[in-house]
Amino acid sequence: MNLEINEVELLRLAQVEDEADCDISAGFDRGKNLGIYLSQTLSSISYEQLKEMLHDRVGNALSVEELDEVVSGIQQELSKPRLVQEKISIEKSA
Amino acid sequence: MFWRYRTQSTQEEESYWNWDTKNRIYLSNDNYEGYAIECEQITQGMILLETQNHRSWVKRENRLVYVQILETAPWNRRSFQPVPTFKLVGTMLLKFAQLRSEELGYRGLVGLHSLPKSESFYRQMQMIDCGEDEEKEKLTYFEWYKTESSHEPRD
Repeated sequence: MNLEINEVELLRLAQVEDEADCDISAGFDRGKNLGIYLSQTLSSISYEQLKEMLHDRVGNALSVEELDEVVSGIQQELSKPRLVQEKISIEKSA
Repeated sequence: MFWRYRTQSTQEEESYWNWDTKNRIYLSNDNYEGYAIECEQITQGMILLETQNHRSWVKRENRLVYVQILETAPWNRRSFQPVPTFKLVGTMLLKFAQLRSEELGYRGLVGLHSLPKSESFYRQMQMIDCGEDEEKEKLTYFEWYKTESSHEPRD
């Protein structure tokens, strides 16, 4: 992957930013919980990994269909967006 | 921690960045990919992409890269200081998302939800305003359907 942008294009993009004259962000404002959200999201395991782990531990007790149901339920619960409306107030340093 | 220190000095209402977080964002799993821009050994901005489960609102059959989070360091924001320390951090991260989309075979298609404060930027970038999304707290959904190079995704 090669993200090379020539000077003309850079100047054009800088002009776009100037004309927009705003912060550049996307997604929910998660405030101080952004770090927690990132760590939970990026350290999560895939559907197949979770299914494999459960199969190793409780595969004798549950059918394949039951395992699928459990894994789907867990994934759906974990993927719900955690909305954060909280605003942060920072204490003045002494 | 550095972001926190810098923002505390000017009482900016931001306190969530720390080095642990920065290190974690280089990890990835099947769907999520995190990237950051560093300069002078400081994280200047970061982006979290979803690469597997999103499709174009314009043409459902087309897959795209979805920007879950795009953030720049407080001192690179115009709301924090009139002249950002580094310009183009957010823009370059967005361009990277487009490049990643091309690499994945999604022809540069990128989608994201914007807070009201950033909508004008995405309009300036010629992204399509698809309107408010009821399922995302009415944030406006934008999509880069037409790539800049081709002006139309290749079939």
